[in-house]
Amino acid sequence: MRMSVLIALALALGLAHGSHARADVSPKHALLLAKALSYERRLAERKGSSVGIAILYAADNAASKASAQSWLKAFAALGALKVHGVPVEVVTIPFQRERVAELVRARGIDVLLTCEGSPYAMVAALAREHRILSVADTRAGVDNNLSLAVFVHREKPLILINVRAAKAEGAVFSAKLLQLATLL
Amino acid sequence: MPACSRRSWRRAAPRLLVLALIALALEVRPAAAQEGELDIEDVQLDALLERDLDEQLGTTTAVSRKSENVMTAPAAMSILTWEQIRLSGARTVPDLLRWIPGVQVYRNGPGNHVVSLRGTGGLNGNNVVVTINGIAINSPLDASVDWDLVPVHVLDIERIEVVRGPVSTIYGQNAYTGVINIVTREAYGRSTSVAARGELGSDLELGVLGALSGRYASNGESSQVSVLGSGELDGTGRGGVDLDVPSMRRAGVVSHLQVATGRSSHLGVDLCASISERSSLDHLVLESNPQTRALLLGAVHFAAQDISDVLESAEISARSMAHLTETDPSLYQGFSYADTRSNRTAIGADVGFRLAPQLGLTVGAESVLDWVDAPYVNPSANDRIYPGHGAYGTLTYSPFERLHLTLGGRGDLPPATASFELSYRGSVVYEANAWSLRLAAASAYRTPSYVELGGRFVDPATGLILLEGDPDLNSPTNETIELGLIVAPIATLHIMPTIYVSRLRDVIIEDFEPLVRRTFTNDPHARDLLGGELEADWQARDDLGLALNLGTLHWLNADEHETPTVGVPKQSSAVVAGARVHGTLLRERVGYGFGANFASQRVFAVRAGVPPSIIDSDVAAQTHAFAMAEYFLGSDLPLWLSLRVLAALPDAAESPLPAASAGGATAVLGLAYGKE
Repeated sequence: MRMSVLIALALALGLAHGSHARADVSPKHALLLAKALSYERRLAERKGSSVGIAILYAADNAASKASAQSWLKAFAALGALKVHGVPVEVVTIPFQRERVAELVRARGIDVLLTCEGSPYAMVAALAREHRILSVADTRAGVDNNLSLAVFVHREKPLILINVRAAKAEGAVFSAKLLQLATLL
Repeated sequence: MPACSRRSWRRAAPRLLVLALIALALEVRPAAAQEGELDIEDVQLDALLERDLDEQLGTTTAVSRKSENVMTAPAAMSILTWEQIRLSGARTVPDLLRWIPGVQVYRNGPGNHVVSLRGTGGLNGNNVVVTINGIAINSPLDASVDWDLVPVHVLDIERIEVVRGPVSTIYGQNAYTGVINIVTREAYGRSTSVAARGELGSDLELGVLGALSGRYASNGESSQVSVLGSGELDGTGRGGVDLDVPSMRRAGVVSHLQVATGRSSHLGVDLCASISERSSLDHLVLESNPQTRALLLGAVHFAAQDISDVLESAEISARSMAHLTETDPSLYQGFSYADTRSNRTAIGADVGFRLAPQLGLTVGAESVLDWVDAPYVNPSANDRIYPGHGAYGTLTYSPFERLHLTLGGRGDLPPATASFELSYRGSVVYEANAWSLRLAAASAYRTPSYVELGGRFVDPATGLILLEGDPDLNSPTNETIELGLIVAPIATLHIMPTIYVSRLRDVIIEDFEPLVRRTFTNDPHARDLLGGELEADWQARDDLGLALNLGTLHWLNADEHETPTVGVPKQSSAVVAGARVHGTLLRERVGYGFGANFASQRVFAVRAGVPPSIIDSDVAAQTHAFAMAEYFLGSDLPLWLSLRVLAALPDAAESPLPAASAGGATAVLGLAYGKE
């Protein structure tokens, strides 16, 4: 009885905590992205001591920036998260091609998580150039040649994969994820 | 509590709270959550995606030849997915089917299997319709299935759908106890995939097995194409009682092309060619010499969806299939299938209406032309074209969101008999979030084969007619009532029990009395049986799955004076059960599977063969065990190394036919390349 009261209280607090987020990104959202990354075989092979995720946003777009902050908070809420057996490190950066490229080289970034408003075509080109994975948080990103998207559609978490784009970036998703994801 | 501790607690509390919630919601292992460190491997993808039971079970086209949810489909069905197939250890489709409740498999020798559903197939293997991508491959001659002519490697099969129970309202003749649909692999998304693999194996007697197979598949903006090919030499498990059974050699290719012709219409073309040489052993040929079989199949269809508010779908299709059997008759003392040719050509149309939001109607018609040319068919019936026609309709109605009613009927004038055959199906399905309950009643019929109707088997030594068909045979019918449940007590566990009662009428008896003509007769007594099936699938973790299957049947009215026949096994209870474990390790680098299935003793009192021989052979209970492992070498050159070990325990033949060979134990090493 006491346990169920505690769980209910925790749920209420959790929902309240989630409702303060400015954009629609929850820890569970971040968890889903991390889980999808765990099915990327090449990431497993090229990762170093960590899996680096750079959250890209458009500097002149307040909503995009808020979304990036929301993703950052979502990952922070998960605490020490491991993918492919190594810690996940997350940074945010306004999209500027050279700065992002420098970050990829300097920090060993593996994933470009692209918030709405960022230039998808340029992110896709950068990801292909560096053979790293591009991820969006909307369907539009995958429609515009980013590899992977994680978002909520009709109140259901959804994973979208642009298979052709993923191949161009050198990603190798396992069949299990391909069978559960929506594919383009 | 010191102030600094209180501050730490305040900072840590929200994070711990979130972690606790996620742990509770996603069944994370407690140890990981307690340590404040979350390894993503401990979180299940299915749980994250919040997929309802109907989404987890997916859709099928096997039951009604249109897409519908498995959870609300109006018949009992099982699906083996690609991952389950890959980790099942099976090398052949019949071995895969051992994991389906209600399926019984008899192996006569390498590449020579008989598969039956719900215990009514005996040794004929002609009571079930088998399709590749929805196109039937049963022999026009006798509706049997040459499993060695399935032209795809098991690892190029996306899934196998098995509909258990009568389905004649959809498939017409011979869907007497069910339908098995083999769906081949396509590319994922708009991309190209290729695969190639080689296998090498041996049994304990150093019988060699070698196989090569490959797949090319590509999806474009408006087209899909796939070509799959395989070749195999199987010399394992050849040891018979007196003589070794011949090896099996086979090669085959299957292709599928689909081109969009509009926003919601497409044209599809399927081609299939397969050739095999294997043991001829069956219930008519009691000798085990090599024979060559070939299958050539072509099909084209045009389909359109959402044509108007009322007209939901329309499809026209045409297909033609040729079967060929050749052998050297001088090798045989008795009967052989030398110079056997048959062809079936069919055209059909199918239209779906949405009469109201909750009311749908599908109507269709099909015309068939059969041609059979075989030296053992009565000359008056041989080398003729037999036309057949059928029409069907199915009404679906959902008076409430969760309640689904189906009523269907079909009338046929089958090509082999001019008699009118009527089949029906009715079902009520109630679905909730985590369960569905199905009550269904259905009938089906099996057309007597051209052998049963017009066979004339002459003793090559004396010229006497040993066995002759009866053109007045009735079609055996199967009427079944079944109650089925699909339930998910927890999100990752599916349990699917079914119980059914069947009444079989006009079962065809092959009594094989020497020197008696018209030895195929209809049994005047109806036979009733009670069966139960259970399937359970628990994905305990992403890297650990457990599956159980159980099928049991009991004859309710045993006939003490039954005539020995190969058509129906002696009326004894039978149990087939299996359990297997499968999963992945080391972040999907290693795949593994192990398990066993068990078939209880099967009792036969059979007079079979031309010339007839009495077989009084009880097949002892047998267990088939397997263990397999695969290792992914790396993404740059995506190679998988695999090892499969299969063993039949005890090492004895599972077929009552005297020259059948034992399966034994086999180990197969495989190397596969695959780029999705």
